[in-house]
Amino acid sequence: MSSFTTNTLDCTRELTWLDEHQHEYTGQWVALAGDRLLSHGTDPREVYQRAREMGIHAPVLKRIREPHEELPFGGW
Amino acid sequence: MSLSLTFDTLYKYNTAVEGIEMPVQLSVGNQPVIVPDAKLDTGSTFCIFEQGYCAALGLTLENGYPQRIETAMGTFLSYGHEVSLLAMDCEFTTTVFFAALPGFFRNVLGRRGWLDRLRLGVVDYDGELYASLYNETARL
Repeated sequence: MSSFTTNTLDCTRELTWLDEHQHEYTGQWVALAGDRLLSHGTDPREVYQRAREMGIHAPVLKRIREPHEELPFGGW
Repeated sequence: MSLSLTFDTLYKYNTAVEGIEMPVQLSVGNQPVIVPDAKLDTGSTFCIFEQGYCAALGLTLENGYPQRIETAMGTFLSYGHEVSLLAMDCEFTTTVFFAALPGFFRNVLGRRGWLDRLRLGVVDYDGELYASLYNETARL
């Protein structure tokens, strides 16, 4: 019988950080680990690599949109 | 008559945000990146991500398999790349597509390459997603 587990990928702290700070980085990519901003900028590869150089194996990466771009999703 | 299914993983998603969102890890070699808010989209044929994740993984967008995607409002070009995809404790190698449109912001988990690898249950009222890999035993 398979054991029951809860999901091991958890971005709760990153999403909380985004709620509180994303307006400061509009138009940029941010790399996060927990509630810690690792790097930011317009080049996603550079942002990712800087985060990795800080010792984070799998950083959370997110492009910050303009607030008016956040609309309900109608599917495809 | 009642039916029952068993699953290995439960993910509690935030019902206050638009869509059913979950974190997804994409990896190429030993370079994993986490997309914090991919949306479950059973209406999408493929898994599609914004092109910045392709660049972050060190992939060249145009080296992938070109695929035009149809939407309600028109079409857009995407490129398919083979990656390792981890979501809800289920990990496998699959092809995902990266949109060639710079302004494309959606990251979606669709049928081919993701949903067709899983057994998936949704209780949206409670914000609960249940999953198991398809090749694991499910009892009816």
